[in-house]
Amino acid sequence: MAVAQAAEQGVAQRIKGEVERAIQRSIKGLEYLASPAPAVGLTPKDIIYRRGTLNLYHYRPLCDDVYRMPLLLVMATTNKAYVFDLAPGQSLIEFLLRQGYDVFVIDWDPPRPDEKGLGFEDYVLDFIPSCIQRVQERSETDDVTLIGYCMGGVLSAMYAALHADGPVKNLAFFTTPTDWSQMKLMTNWTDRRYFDVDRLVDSLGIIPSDVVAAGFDMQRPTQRVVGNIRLWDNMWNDQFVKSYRMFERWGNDTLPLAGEYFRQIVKELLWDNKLVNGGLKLGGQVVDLRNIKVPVLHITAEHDHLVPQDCAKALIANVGSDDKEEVMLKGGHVSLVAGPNAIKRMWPKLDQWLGARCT
Amino acid sequence: MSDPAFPDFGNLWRDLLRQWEDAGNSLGTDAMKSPEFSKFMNQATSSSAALQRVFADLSAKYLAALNLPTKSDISAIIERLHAIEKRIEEMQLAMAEGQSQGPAGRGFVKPTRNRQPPAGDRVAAADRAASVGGLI
Repeated sequence: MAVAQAAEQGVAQRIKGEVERAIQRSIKGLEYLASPAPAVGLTPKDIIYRRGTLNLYHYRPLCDDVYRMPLLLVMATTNKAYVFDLAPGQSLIEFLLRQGYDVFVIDWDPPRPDEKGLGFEDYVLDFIPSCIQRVQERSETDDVTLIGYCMGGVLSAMYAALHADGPVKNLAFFTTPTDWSQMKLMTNWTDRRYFDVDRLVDSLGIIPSDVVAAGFDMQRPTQRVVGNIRLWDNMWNDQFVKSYRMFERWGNDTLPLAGEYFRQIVKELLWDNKLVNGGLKLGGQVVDLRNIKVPVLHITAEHDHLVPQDCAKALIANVGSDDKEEVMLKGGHVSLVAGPNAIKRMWPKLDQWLGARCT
Repeated sequence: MSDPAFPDFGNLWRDLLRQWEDAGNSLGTDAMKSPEFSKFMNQATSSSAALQRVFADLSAKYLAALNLPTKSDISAIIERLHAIEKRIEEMQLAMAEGQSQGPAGRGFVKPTRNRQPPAGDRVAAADRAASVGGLI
C-alpha cells in the first residue's frame, strides 16, 4: 500500500515537472524567437594584421608574466575562429590567457571574388609565414608554437614540413585530417568519375558557403531535425538554449572557399591523398611530414563524424618527431574544442603539454 | 528510478529520439557511400548548375535590354569597393602602429616572459627532454 502510494506520488511529481516544462517551453520559445543572436568572441583582442581573407588577432594578456613562447592558433578555413572564444567561462582563448600564454589567432573572412585563385601556396607560403613574422615582432621572441584545428592543422603541418629549421618549435593539432582515403563519404562524393571539380571551380570561382555547409550536414543527415526537436524539448533549460544558440550561430557561419584552394583539396588530398602517399609540392618543394621533428601533440575526438580516427591517426604515424603524442578524448569534432567536455578534458591536457614546452 | 508500472514517458521518448537519430544517420551515411549515390548527386548538381547558368544568361540579357546593371556590373563595383576598403584598413593599421609606438601603447602592457609550468610538470618535462636527447 505504502509502495503504491510512493509510486503514485513519483508519477504525480513527474507529470507536474513535465507540465511545468511544457509551460516554460511556450514562454521561452517566444523569447527565443524574439531575442538577438548571442554575443561571441568577447575576449579583448587587437587585429594586428589583415589582408583580404586573412586576419591575425593578438589577445590582450591576462597575466603579468607569460610563457616565453607565444601560441599561434590557425583556424580551419571553413569556419570562424570564435569557436575558440564562445563565451566567458567557455573560451579556450580565455583559458589559455589565464594559464599564462601569449595567444595569437589566425581567423578567416569570406574570400573575395579576386581571391578565387588563392591556393595552398598562398596559405602555407604566404599567410602563415607573414603571421609568424608579426607574432615574432609583437612578442619579441623568435620561437613560436603553432596550433592548427582541422584544415588549419593541415596547413600548419604543410608549413612545418617545409620549414623544418624554422621558428616553429612545437606543433599541436586538433582533429586534423591526414589520411584522406579514410574520409569515405567525402571521397565518394568527389569520385573523379562523376565529380568534375574543374568545371565547378571554373564556373563558380568561389565555392559558396552553402556547398561547404551541405557537405558537413550530409555527414549527419538527421542532425538539423533532431537538433531542433531537442532544442524544443530543452527550451525550459536556459543553459542548454544558450549553448545551443552559440553553436548554431557558429555552425551557420560556414565560410566559402577560394576555388583554387578547393580544387587542390579535392585533387591533391581527396583524390591522391598526397599527405600520406607523398608527391605534394608547394613552391617547388615536396611536403614530407617526416621532416617535422619538433614536439607534436595531436588531440582527436572519439566520436568525430567529420574526421574519423583512421583519418586522423596517420598524422602522428607520419611525422618524424621523437616527442610526439596522440590523445583521443571523448567528444565530437566541435565539442572537443568548445563546450563543457572540452573544459574538463581537452583544455587541461593541452595546457599540461604546452606548459612543459613553451618556456 | 523509473517505476515499471508507471514508465517515464519523457525519458522513453528521448531514448527513442536518440535511437532514431543514430539509425537515421547510419542509414543515410551508408546510402551515401555508394557509387550510385555519388553519380546521382553529381549529375543533379551539374544539371542544377547548368540551369542556373542558363537563367543567369537570360537574366543578364533582359537586364541589359532594360539598361539595368547586371550581376557582373555590380560585382565589379563591389570589387572596387573592396579595394578601397583594403587601402583604408592598411592606412588605419599603419596609423595605429605609428601612434602606439609599438605594442606598449594603446593600453597594451607588455608582460614579462619568464613563466614556468607547475612544479610537477617541470619534472616531467625534464625527464622527457632527457629521454628524447638519449634517442638522438
